[in-house]
Amino acid sequence: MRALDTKPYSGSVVAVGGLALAFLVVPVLFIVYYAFNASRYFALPPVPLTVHWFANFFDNERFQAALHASFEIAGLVTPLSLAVAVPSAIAIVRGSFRGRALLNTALLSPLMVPGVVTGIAFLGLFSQLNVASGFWRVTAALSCFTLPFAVRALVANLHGLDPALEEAARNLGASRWRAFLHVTLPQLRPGLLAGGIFVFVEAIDNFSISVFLTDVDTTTLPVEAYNYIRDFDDPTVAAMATLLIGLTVTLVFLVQRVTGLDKFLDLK
Amino acid sequence: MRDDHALKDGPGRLADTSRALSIAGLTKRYGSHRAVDDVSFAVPAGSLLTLLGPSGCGKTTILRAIAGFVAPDAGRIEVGGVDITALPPERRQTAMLFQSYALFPHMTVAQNVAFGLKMRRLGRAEIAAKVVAALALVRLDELAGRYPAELSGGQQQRAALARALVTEPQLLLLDEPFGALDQNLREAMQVELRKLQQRLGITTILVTHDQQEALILSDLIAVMNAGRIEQLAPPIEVYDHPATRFVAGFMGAANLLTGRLTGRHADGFDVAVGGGMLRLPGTPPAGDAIALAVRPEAIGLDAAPAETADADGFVGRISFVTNLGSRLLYEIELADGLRLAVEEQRQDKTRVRAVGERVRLRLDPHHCTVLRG
Amino acid sequence: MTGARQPDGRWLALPALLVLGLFFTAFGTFIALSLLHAVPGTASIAGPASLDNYRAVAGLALNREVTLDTLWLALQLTGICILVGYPLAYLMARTPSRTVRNLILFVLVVTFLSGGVTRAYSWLIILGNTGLVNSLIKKLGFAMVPLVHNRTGVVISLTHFLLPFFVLTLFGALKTVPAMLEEAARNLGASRLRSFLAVTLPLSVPGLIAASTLTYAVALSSFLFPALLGGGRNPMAANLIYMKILDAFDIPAAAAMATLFLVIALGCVGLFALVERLAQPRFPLARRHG
Repeated sequence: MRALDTKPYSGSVVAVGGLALAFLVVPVLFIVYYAFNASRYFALPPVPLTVHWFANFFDNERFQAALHASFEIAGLVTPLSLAVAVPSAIAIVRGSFRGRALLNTALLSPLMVPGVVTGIAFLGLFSQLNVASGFWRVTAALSCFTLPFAVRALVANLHGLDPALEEAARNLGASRWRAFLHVTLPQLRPGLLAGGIFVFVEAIDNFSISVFLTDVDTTTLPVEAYNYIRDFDDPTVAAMATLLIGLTVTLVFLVQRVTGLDKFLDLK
Repeated sequence: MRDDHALKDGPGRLADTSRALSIAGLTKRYGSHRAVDDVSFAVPAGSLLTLLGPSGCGKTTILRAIAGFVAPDAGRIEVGGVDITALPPERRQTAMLFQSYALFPHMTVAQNVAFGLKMRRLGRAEIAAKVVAALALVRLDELAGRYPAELSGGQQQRAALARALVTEPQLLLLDEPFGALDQNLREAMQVELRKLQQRLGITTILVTHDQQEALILSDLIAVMNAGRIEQLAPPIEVYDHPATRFVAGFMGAANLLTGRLTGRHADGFDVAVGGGMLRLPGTPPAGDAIALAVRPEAIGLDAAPAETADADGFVGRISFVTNLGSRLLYEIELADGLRLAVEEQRQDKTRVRAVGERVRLRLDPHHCTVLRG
Repeated sequence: MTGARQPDGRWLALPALLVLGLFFTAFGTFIALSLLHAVPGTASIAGPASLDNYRAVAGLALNREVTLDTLWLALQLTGICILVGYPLAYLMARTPSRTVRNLILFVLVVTFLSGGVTRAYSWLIILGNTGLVNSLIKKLGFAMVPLVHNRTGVVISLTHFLLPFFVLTLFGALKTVPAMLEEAARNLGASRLRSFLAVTLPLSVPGLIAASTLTYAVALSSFLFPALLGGGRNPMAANLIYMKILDAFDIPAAAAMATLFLVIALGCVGLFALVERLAQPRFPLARRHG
């Protein structure tokens, strides 16, 4: 009775897919394991586990400074990006002025440019403007760079909403602003969440732009980690990575609970 | 003892090749839910069987099991006497017309129709000839070079039909094929399909939830509910003599009555219902409560003079009137509160009765079906 | 209430325009800078405006070689992603189990979001001379295989980085190819493979191109992975630009390099878009019924 295989893909597809999946997972799992590795270098057979490197991470002044800076920057960039993205998305989806499509394309353009180029461009601009603070340079540049993520998520979200709901609210007496506040905004939660998470993670993790704009006083976590790898190469970076991965997994779980991964990735 | 639901001329012998399709003990479970529950039936060659039922009754699952897209948990499927249960879909000769037609959008109509023949490795000339013939059969000759997106719904359906028929399959499977069409087009296509099917003599299984469609097209109807067949019979029988309460309800606005057994006789039994008495032929089912189904058009109406006491039976008032042009639908409320639907053909002289009028109903016992399920 | 004008929402676009203004100003300055010169010995930049920087950049054989190499490598990586990523995307799109699909999505998203430096470092340890792979190889008695500080390491780590981009984009497109069409093909006698080749693959071409375009664009701008895993001997275009700044702090020259590279990158991406436009009529995705 079970002789009939009704799936549209054969066993070999499953095998390749499975291998691809394993390939994706291995580095993430490995680095978490390595963070607890007692010896400084990787060795087989496995050595006992320790949290020494986590302690090392928190003791390291430069890492702590970078950690603070990264989270502060991300904490600024995310609400800024979202605050700009919401009216932009509404303008694109619900507006009726000419040039909407152009605006949409223009807002996606920062993603098309290699990070390096963006980094240098802003470096040039800021040196001409004599903006010396690495902190503000990174914040400004990342706000521009991450805007497309937020806009894309919100536009996708808005496209799926029924304008009749806002019309109903206005029909019942709500002003444009109140209709937005009480009807539209609550429905934008998936887009805000998706956009917010992408922006936040990118702001913390961005390397190719930040590396040009940081200065002596401010480094970000990725830049600091990069330098540390070149100089020391011990599992402290793995500890940092594990913490970040833990954060990411938590965020993704959160998304799964609130909206489900399908909506998050704008896949219908 | 479980009914085999086979034809009246005896349970189908599974190795009998005059049965184009034989299903035995088909079961499919999804988790704890039984989508198809030990279903068996046989279809004679050249006939059209409709699997009729509401959504979720298992009819589509059975069709897909025949086509090979669902692997049954138990049971056997035989086509032309050959057991195909373990065969993959591409090795079965069971051409299917999908609900959304499933025409390949990147191929022309002609290429679509040729696809099955290409898979069978026929020669180019032969394929071309057969494609032309198939398109002529469904009257799509002129549109051979078009893409599906350029066709209307009816044309797409005919293209899908040509694609299925050109492979000369042993079974034609139709999955709610008329659902996407407009009402007017639907009836025309139904008749056309039926004529074609009869002309070609191809054994066909049709899945639908539309009882009218089933009545128009079928040689046999299998009414399904919750994974089981409740009645398998020719259309007229399912309509006139529904076997169960479910079938009666599903086949249309039958009046469902419950009466009390009051007496038995040599050739029949008495049932007290609706304030009156009916003498029904045959043997009564077990128990005191008798379930009856009567079609609205099988009840006659007479004016009831004011002196007629309610207790005389089958007397009531008209509570609602629907004028459908050629037919009149009356809702009658009987003295004991029972509501019945009565239908009258409207001929020239027929007066439209008014709400509130007192009427007496004429129920012919022979038009009442005793429900045994 | 006739005559009430509906606002067309243009003022809502203002914040975005400000941000874009900043962005394009940066680029304007950037291009302007590339036409100027860094004054040696100081941090300032002076005119006169000329194309000298461009001439110098284009004239250097190393630059040309690295650029071509970058274009070629990005293409190879895209090819690898197609071979490895298509089955995974197909699996995701056609699996009857929601759990499996969500699991794969989860892995993809976590990988995607788990950081560049994180993954680069992880690969460094996995592929290193004393790392996981080589330790296993040595245990089995074979000689060590150099997998880092060379092209191999860069390819492996970049493939890992690019795969989620590719798979997620392709998955979105594959979902729109109705499974029913594959069933129809099998019903008509096509084996699974033939059904895939005759129906699924052609209909997935637009999505495949979109995924490839994105992957190619991201691959072109690779910076971190070649930096950490290439050992300095396998710079890609972005690394070269970076080194220009780091070594000489010559922003105008770097700007010229970057502009040239940007033009080439956009050109290549434009080629992909052109291919997509050409492929469009032959592979319509229309599922519309008449």
